[in-house]
Amino acid sequence: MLLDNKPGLVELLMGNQAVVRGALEAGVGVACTYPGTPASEIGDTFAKYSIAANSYYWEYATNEKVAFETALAGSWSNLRSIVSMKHVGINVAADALLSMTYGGSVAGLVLAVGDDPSCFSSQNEQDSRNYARFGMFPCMEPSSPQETKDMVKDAFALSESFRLPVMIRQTTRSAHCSGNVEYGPIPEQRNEVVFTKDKLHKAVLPSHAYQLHPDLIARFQSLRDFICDSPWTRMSLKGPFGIIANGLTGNYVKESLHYENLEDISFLHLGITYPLPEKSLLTFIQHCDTVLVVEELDPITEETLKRIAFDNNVQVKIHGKDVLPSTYEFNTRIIHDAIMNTLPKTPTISFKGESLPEASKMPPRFPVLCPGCPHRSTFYAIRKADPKGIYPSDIGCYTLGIQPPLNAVDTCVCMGASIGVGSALAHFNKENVFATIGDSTFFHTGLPALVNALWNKSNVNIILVDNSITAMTGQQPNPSCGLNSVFEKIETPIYPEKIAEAMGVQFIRVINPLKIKESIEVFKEAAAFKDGPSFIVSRAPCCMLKGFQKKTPVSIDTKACIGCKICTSKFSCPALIWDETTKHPIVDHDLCNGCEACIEVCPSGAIVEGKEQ
Amino acid sequence: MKEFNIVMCGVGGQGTVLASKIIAQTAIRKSMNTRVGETHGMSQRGGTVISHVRIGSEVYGALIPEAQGDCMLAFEPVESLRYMNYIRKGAYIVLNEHPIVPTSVNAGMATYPSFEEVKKELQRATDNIIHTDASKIATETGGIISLNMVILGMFSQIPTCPFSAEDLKQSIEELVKPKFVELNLAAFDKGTTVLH
Ligand SMILES: Cc1ncc(C[n+]2csc(CCOP(=O)(O)OP(=O)(O)O)c2C)c(N)n1
Ligand code: SF4
Repeated sequence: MLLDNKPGLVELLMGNQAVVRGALEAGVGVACTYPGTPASEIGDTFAKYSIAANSYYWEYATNEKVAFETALAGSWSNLRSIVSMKHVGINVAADALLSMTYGGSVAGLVLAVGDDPSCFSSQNEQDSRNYARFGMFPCMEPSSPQETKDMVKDAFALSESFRLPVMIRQTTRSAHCSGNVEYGPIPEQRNEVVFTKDKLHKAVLPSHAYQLHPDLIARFQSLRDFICDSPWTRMSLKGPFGIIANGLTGNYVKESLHYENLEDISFLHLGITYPLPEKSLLTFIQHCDTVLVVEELDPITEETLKRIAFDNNVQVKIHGKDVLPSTYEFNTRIIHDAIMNTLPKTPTISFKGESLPEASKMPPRFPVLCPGCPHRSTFYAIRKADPKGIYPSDIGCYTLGIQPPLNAVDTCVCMGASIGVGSALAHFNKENVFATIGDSTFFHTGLPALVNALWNKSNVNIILVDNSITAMTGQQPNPSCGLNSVFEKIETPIYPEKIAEAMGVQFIRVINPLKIKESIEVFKEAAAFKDGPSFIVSRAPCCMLKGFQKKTPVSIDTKACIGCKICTSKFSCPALIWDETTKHPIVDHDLCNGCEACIEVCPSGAIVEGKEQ
Repeated sequence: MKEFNIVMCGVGGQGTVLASKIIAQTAIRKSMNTRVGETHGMSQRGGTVISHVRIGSEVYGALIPEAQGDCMLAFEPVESLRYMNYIRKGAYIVLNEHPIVPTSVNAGMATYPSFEEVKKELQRATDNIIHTDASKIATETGGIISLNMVILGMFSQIPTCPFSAEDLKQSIEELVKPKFVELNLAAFDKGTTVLH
């Protein structure tokens, strides 16, 4: 078990769980997050063990900025603190992050971030190392769950040595990779809580910031030298062909060299990927005549290396983004090919598998809203109410409403933008605007945009699709769902409709989206209301919610069915499957939740309540 | 054993995650090194999923390089095709015959191939294909939720499987909630009886 204080025990841990173990071994006192794939399991693991461990303060915050501030307060209170988020979360936290570095942290402050090369579940491929460069703090990149655990532990100490936050950068691949992890001891004692008043370092007024910036640069310089001697900078000088790789990508290098039986290659495997160990890099290029830089996404190491070669007049051929892509995650085949081409050497092994069948044999399988998902019904009703509307939306399971046949999502940029973009679209366009936003997203960044819409009198129709949980990222609690950060019931959920009412929104309704006909009427009424924003809470629980009660699947009255296909081709619940031979739908009993929304979709009354068997 | 690579594929929600964990746990108990690369997030909403399970003394990355898979456990027919580039010539495939029809087919935008077509395509890579309607076996035993156990049972019977059925069953007992252990083991046992 993750909490076992048994040094030497080997367990299977996912990268994200290893982050938590590392923090526990460092004696962490504060942990917080706003969820986001691929970093979500870090927070979820802290949540799971919070009560049993009884050694750290834990919370799910409403957004990444608040989460970061919570961790900062922890560090300032002399508690080792960790905050986790996905890469784009740093954009939200950046305001706090990029200024606090001037005054610095106190107890170890670790920012565990999940980057997402290949956009498995994100809106962009931004490379978080740029924030390390921007804010002048270190970034560490593990190559295995064992390293993740050990690095996180070291990160707290590194943070304390330089009074800087330390970023642990995993990618989707490392965060969700499991492997053997050997445990170390968990200390019995936590730091004592002390908040030392120190205005210069804790209040970055202009005059203080002016004074502190040189100090930040100085700390950063000494950090650079320190990194050259760090055990995470692993250099092996052999032949004249050298490879420099970051954390995880080093595995692809090692694997390629292993498969090709190449032993005479110099290799610099970077564990700390920002700032770069400049003296080590210089030694490396002085030793080699050709160097291949292997880094996913941006050419940060490559550009630094070229600068060092230039400044020191070193004659060396540096390859990087000329032979490797700046997009998507790497794999062994990509790295193997790049090594073979730059060496050059004829490969002895082929990573080309059997060719895939033609596309027509592999029907695409996009992610879809679950059977019975209330979002499907909300979208269906919005489109029925106004098929010509503009549909700005947001980030969550409900973004899947973009797919045909629902086609009820026109825009999606970042969390909260549905209301921000939507209220402005309503100012500029004659069509009715229906902005859909999830409950978690509403609290994250939707709130200021709602205030803005009301204040500036936009006629946007805001539809809060409230499924009582943060679903997309794996069922985390949020302020309105009636659970606290450790999933205990609370008496006082914070209801969005009450917030809207207190603000003075004039048109507020709460609907059950599974009642499609009623929903359509409410959306029509909202569209006709032209005296500021309308606010509709479309509330029904997520089908994946713990304790969700499945009901009896619906039945098909084949005599009544007219074969119009609306249920499968327009409503598209995966539990209804069209049978070409009978020209009627079939209900998949494993999938149907018995939500009965489809009953109101059928124009001929052919879908009926199921009977208990 | 230096390395043994298992490609596990199917549809989000079919239980590939637990199945890969059970194999990895067994490997750790046998003092092997392990790497399991998984799909989480968006694709778990009924999208296509692949787990890369790598065990042995020399494992590196979390991804099985193309053409290096020693075996494939396919929870769904069409999903086996999508990842067939990952297996070696002659690798063993454990294949569930039961299709999950994607909404793209339901909405009339694509067609679903027949099982014979699927098999024919796979045979370009290997003749070692063990298939059955594992979903049906699961439904009749512990419910569709135990599909992963039926597949693991089938896996335990392939000649190259690095583990015995007993090894895998021990991990099931360790990892599955106690009240479900019996049903899961029953489903596993059914899987072991599927003939070639
Ligand atoms: C800044 C930022 N933080 C986190 C995420 C990750 N994320 C994607 S969807 C989502 C949750 C959405 O929850 P909710 O709004 O309740 O909608 P649901 O998925 O429940 O339908 C989160 C946190 C993100 N995309 N951007
Ligand atoms: S997890 Fe919940 S919110 Fe997401 S698609 Fe499924 S039912 Fe809908």
